[in-house]
Amino acid sequence: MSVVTVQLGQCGNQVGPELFSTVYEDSTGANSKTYKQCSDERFFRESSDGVLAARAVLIDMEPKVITQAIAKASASGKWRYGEKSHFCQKQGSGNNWANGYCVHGPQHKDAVEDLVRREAERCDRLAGIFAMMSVAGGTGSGVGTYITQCLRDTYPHAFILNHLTWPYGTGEVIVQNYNSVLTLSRLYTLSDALVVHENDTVHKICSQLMNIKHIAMSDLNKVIAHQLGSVLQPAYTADSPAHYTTNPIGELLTSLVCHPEYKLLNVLNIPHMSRTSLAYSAYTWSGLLKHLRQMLIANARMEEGINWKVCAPSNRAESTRNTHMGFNRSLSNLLILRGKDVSSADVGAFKEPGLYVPWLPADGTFHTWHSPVPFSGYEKLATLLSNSQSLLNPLDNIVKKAWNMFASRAYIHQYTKFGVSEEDFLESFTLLEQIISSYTHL
Amino acid sequence: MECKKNVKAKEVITTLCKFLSALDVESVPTAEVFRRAKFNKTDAAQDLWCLLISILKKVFEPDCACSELTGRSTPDTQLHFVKSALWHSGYGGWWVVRPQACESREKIGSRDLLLAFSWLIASGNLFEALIRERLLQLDVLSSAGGPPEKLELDLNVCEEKDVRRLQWQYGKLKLRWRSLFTAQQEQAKLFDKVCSQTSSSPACYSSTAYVPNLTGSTALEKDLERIQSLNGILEAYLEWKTVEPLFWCWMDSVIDGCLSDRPVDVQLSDQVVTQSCSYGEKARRSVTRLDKMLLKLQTKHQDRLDRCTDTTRLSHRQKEEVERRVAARLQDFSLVNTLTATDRGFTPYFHEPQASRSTSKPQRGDSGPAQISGVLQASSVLKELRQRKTMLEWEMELLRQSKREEMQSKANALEGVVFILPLKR
Repeated sequence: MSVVTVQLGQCGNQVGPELFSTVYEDSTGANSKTYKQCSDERFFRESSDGVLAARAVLIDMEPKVITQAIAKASASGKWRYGEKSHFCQKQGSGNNWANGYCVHGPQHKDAVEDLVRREAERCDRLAGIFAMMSVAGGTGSGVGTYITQCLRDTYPHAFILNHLTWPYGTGEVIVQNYNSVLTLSRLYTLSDALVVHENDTVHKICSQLMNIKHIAMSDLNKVIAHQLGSVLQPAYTADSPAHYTTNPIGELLTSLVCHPEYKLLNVLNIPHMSRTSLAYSAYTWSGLLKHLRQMLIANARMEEGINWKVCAPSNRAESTRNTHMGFNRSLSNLLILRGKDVSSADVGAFKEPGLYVPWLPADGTFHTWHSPVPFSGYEKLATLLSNSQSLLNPLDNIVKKAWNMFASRAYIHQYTKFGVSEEDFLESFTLLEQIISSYTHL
Repeated sequence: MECKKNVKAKEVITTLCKFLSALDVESVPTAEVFRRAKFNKTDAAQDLWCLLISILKKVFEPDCACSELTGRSTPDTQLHFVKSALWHSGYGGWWVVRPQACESREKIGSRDLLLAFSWLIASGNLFEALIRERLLQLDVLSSAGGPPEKLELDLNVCEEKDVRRLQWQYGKLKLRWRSLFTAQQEQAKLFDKVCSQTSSSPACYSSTAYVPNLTGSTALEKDLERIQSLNGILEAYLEWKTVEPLFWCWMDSVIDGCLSDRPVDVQLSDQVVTQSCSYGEKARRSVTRLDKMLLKLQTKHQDRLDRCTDTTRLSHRQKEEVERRVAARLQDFSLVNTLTATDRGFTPYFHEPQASRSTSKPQRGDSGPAQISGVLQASSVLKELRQRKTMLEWEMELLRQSKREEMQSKANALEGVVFILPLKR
């Protein structure tokens, strides 16, 4: 039971090593042998010299970031990347999705597919493919989309989960919204689910909760890795209450994204704090879950600045009739609890029918995973993976900005010259509008 | 040597028979029947007839309404069914194609039946289609649990939310199916590992692996049986595929025997082309196209005539020149477009047709191989093709020359431009 991670582009190759470090440190620090074994099998394989090698494939069009990632992993002395599991070129994609998707991707298709196949064949059970990328740049988004498409063709029955980093609203790349629109529309049909992290949210977590003064890229990546790790590390599930599940991604998808129109997943995590204050904090499950629930329904990204006035409609019928101000309706939620006394945590408040759409059967909307092993030094930690309206606004913003640029035909020739036509753009816009409308009318 | 070859042929046909039985085809004859059919023995006809009927039934019954026809199975309806089914699949044997040629089954020799049977195998993917059908019946995963018991859903009052709920449940099922699929793959992989480590010969667990009967549940046993028979089919198919070329070699010898026994029928080949349904359609279409083309040419010709009626202005010499060119063109045209023996389709022979050896041949007196349509000698074909090649080359040279002249005249007309001829290679 193993997950093959595909790190794509600069972002993917920076978040990737953080994720592996996080899960390695977490499972090594945990005082549980089975937990460690399960986690190791999930993310690493033993290489010939006995060192753990990440089940990962690194892909970028320029060598810099990959070299850094490999060096950093080797320097840790605890785990490293596989000998021949990376692929890079000399020339980047210049933040142009079309360049990545139409030129670089097809050019290096065989090499990349070969790398992934070798990694997949080393798994007794391929639990899923986890592709990490940003949607703003050229390589991660363009090549990443193309590679995801190839993987879908090669592994039609495998679970493919994409992790997407969304750019800052006031982004650094002028065509980031074009790239995002093209990536999201393609991935929506290819991938089984899209787990989204917004840079803006993560930045706020760093500044307000972790009290970091000068926020560097690596700080953001650590937060993302922390949240992903808390989702992907071993846990007991409904299907496997006595053993750590052997089908984490399959179960994740079964509980969250069964409907093909709704595939966007948001991650909420509580508590977040700096390493130094970790030792002096104590939480109760009821307090954590109360906050988390309010974060969910009021669509707050973190435990500070939650609007406590928002409340859920009392029953399903009411929830369809009037739209409560600021209320964030869910399709499905997966709550993952890690740490001390998880069995005593009362999750009833998340099961209220008023939180969910009326057309789903009540037993299909909410699932819990749990593990008694504390995660990364947090005595108690709750993570909520949510398929809800919470990403509606940022998605709408991306589409609107891209459309405004498209309406004045700005930079379009940069895309058409590589073979992405205006019709392709229009198709992408249509699809995303459809998604926005689906989520709006939940 | 002859004996050895026969043994081989027998093995090959036995493989075929095994495969057919695995596919659940009824009344599969023994290899001996095939051998006897090669020599057109009458006693083999009944068995082959049954085989042909059961195969055609398997192929055609699901999608045609002829089941009640074959169900009653009087000899007449059977014959009608077999003939029309074979005709439908494009077979052009004499007893199928010719109307009124064959009113009773006794006239059809066992070799004719054998030929029809092998036509069925050779044309299209008969076996693959049959396998697919069996697979759908047997595959445990794709037909897990069979169809659900009655679904309580009134489609008339089905609202949008019901549709969404169904979509969700369907998506869930698909995801669960994929989970099971990966679990199955994992089991296969681990099983393979265990087997390759515990035993030196990896072949031992191919079909008769010991499966511990843990639950004793009948449903599981049934599944096991289905999987085993599925494996049986696939193995039989694999075996058949490896010996298939040998079978066709043997069929070649059957056809040779057939040709040497019977005078080649002149009309037969033509009839196949026009009467069998797939070809007939094609022919009709080309005729319509030719008609249209003719019409177009006529109109064009009329136009030209109208414009060129004023030939009086041309001098005598010019007229002669035009006539000469037209005649030359026409001759070329007729040379290139005359149908020759090779255009009509043929069976290449390297030796003299065996027919000429038999004494009872009525056409023996005919001279020249071209008289027997459908049979050509390789040497004459070669000669003809060579002739045609020279003709085409000559025509190409002409075209090249005219193009060159045309280019030169155009180049001369342009002023101030210097043309440099390409270097001669």
